[in-house]
Amino acid sequence: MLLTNDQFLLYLKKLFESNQKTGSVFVTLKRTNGQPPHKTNSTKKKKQTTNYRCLCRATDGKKKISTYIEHRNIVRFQIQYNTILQTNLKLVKKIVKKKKTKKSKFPRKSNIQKK
Amino acid sequence: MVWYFDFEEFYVAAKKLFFSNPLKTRFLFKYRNCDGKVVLKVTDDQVCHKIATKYSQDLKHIKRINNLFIQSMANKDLQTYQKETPKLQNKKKKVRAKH
Repeated sequence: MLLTNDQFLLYLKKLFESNQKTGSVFVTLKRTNGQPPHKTNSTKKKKQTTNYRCLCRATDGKKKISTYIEHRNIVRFQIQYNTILQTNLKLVKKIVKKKKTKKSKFPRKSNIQKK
Repeated sequence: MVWYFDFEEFYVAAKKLFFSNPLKTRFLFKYRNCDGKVVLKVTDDQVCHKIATKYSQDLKHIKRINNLFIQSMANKDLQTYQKETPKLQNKKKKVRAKH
């Protein structure tokens, strides 16, 4: 289902929320020309106007949504997308164990002269 | 299919693959909340680079890669993004010497 950027982000949020207990969310990014990948007779005849856009697709295995990101919408989309990831990705914190330096019970006695 | 364990290496490989074939490469992001796992994949249907993580510290790397792809894919001119970007520096806590 092709949507606008704002609608896509809304549905993406819903996808993340509905797949919390089971299932996975897939998001694909691809660069598009506006033209089909294989050359056909129609593409050869028409003048090729290259309008580069980023196609963003999301699915959970059942529902499919997609949107086109254009150059003027990059920053806005990026900020909103990053906030969605920040809130929905629940990842584990890596615990780095500090190496404990062992303190010896019997400290070295150096330069102690017995009287 | 190549599995990576270091995000810097994956970033370099992904960038190289994309700029060699910009119209065919795609970037995939998979998240499973039940496993708490994120998998990133970059492929052009011939070569495939993958990396997986479950740590929150790697979120900044994930965002960095996402930003790279969104910006360079929607842009007409690819040369501005082909330049080398500086590596992400880990913020190390300063340890005070014990007196």
